[in-house]
Amino acid sequence: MEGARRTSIRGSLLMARLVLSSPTGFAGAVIVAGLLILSLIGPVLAPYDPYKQDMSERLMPPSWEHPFGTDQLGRDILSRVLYGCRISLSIALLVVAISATIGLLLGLVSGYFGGLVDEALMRVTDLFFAFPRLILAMAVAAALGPSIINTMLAIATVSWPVYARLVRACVLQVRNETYIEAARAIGAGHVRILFRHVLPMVVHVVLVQATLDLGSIILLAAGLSFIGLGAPPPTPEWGLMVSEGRLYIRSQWWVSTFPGLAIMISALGFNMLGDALRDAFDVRLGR
Amino acid sequence: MARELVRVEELRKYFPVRGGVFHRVVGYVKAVDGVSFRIEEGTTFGLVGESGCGKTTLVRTILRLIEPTAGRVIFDGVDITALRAGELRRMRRHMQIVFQDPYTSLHPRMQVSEIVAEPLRIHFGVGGEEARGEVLRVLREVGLGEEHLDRYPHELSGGQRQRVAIARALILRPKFLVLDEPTSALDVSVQAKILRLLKELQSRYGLTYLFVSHNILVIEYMSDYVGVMYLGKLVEVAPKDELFKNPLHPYTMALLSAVPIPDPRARSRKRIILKGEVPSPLNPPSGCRFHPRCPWASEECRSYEPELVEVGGEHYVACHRWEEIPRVNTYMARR
Repeated sequence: MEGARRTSIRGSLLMARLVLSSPTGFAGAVIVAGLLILSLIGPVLAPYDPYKQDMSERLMPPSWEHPFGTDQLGRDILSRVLYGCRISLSIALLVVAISATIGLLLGLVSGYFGGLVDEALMRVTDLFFAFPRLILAMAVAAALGPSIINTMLAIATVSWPVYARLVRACVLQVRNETYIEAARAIGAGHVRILFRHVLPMVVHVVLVQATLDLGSIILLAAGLSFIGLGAPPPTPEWGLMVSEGRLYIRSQWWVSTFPGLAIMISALGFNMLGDALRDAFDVRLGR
Repeated sequence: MARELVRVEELRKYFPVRGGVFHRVVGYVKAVDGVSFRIEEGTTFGLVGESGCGKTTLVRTILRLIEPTAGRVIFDGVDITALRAGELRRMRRHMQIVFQDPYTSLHPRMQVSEIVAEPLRIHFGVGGEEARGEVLRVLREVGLGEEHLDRYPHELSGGQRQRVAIARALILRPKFLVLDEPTSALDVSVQAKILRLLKELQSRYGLTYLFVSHNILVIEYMSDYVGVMYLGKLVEVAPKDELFKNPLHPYTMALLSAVPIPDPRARSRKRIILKGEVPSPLNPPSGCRFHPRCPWASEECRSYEPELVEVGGEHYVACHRWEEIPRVNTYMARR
C-alpha cells in the first residue's frame, strides 16, 4: 500500500542519516561506495590489460606511465588492482549471501523449535567454532583444489555458523513475545510465524553482521590466495598479488604494497560501515 | 436455559521446575490445578483473583496456547484438547483472545491494516485490497477509522492499540472471546471506554466472553457469572448478583472487603485483612490452600482439601466451614 512505501522510505532515510552522521560511518560508506563503483567500471578505467606481460618493463617503480609500478612479469599493477576489485567484491558478496541465508534459516529453525533440532544444530556450530576460521577454510580449500569457486565454497562453509548462532539468540528473545502468541491465537502456522513475524525482528542483526563480515571475507579470500589455496595465477586477485610480490618486498616494495593497501582499505571500509550500521539500528530500536 | 458454549473439566497445568547439576525435574508449579466451570452462550464469565493465582495460565490453557497437563476443554461440543495441530488452527477462528498489554501484543513492524487483515488471510486466503473493506468495517466498529490503516502500533495510543487488538480478534466473527485483563494496562478514563465498547459488541453480536481481571469493580460491571480463583483453584463460582450479595468463601469476602469505598463514614466497616503472602504454588499448603491465611481455619482445613460443591442456585463454594463462619459483606453496603 501507499503508506507502507512511504513509511519504509522514511525509515531508510532515517537510517542513512544516522549512519552518515558518524565520521566512521561516513568514511565507511564512502569507501564501500567507491569499491562498488570501481568493481563496476574498474575495467574501463584500467590503463592496461591486466594479463599483458612485458618482460622489458618488469618491476618498474611507480611512474606516470605505471602509477603503481609493474610486477615481476611486467604487468601494470594499477590495472590489476582495479580488476581485482571486482573479483574480491564478488567473492565477498556471494559468500555472504550464501552463508547468511543458510545461517539465517538454520538459526530461525533452531531458535524457534528448540529441543533436539536445536541441540543438534548448536553442537554442529560448536564444532566449527572450535577451529580458527582460516585453518578450517584452508582445509576445505585444500580438499577442493584452488579455484575462485572453491575459495567461495570454502569460506561459505566456515562462515554460516556465526549467522546461525546470532539469529538463534535473537529468535529465543522474540519467540516469547506476546505478539508471537497473538499470531498463534489467530491460527497462524509455524511457517507464517517464522517468516512473517519472527524474521522481520531478526533481519537487522543479519544485515549488520553481513556488512562486518564482508571485510573479513575479503581478508580471508586474500589469505587463502596468498598461501596458494585460492585463486590460481594469473588471476589479478589481491591476495595472490601480495603473495607474488613477497620475493621482491625489500627492493621492489610496490609489487605487494598496492594490492595490500587495497585489501586493507576495503576491509576497513566494510568494518566501519558495519559498526555505524549497528549503532544506527541501536538508536532506531531505542536501545 | 441457555446453551452451553464452553465447558472446562478438571483442567490442570503443571510447569516442571528443574534444578541441580543434572537439570532434573525437582518439582512442579501447579499453576492451574483442577479447574472446572462452564460458560453459557452470550454470557460473560468473570474470573477474578490476585496476581499470580494462575488466571492467565488458565485462560491460555483453555485456548491451548499452552498445552494442558490434564483435563478437557469442550468448546461448542468439540473437545479441543484432543484436536490435532491443524484442526486446532482451523478451530481458532471461533475463539479469540485479547491480551493484557497492547504494547506487546501487536507486531511492531506491521501496520494496523496488516495486523487486522491477517486472520482473514490465514483462514480465507484473502488479503490486500480484497480485505480492505472488511478491515475498515471492523475498525469502525471498534471506534477507529480509515486514517489508522497505515499506522504502526508505536504511532497509536494505548487505548487505540487495544482497539486494534479487539478488531483483530473480531474480524473472523468468533463466538467466544477471551479477554485477559484487557484494560489493566490502560488509563482509567480509557478503561471505561474500552469496557463500554466490549459490552456493546457483546450485545450486538451475541458474543460469549471469558473476562479476566484482578479488579473486582471491573468484574462486577462486565460479568454474568463470576469465578474466584486462588492459587490455581476456583474457590467460589456464582451468578454475579448472588456472589456480590452473598459471598460464602472467606477469600471472596476478603476480596470484597478490600474494595475501597469512597465514603469516609464507612471507615469503621468491618474488613477482613488477610495475613501473610500468597503461598508459592510450587509448594502449596496442605488441605485447603487458603488455610494459612484464613481467620476461621480449623484442623479439618489443614488436612483435607475441600471440593467445589453446589450450595444452591448455581452457587458453588470450596470451603469446609461455609455454613458456620460469619457472613461478612460490606461490599453491597455502599449502594
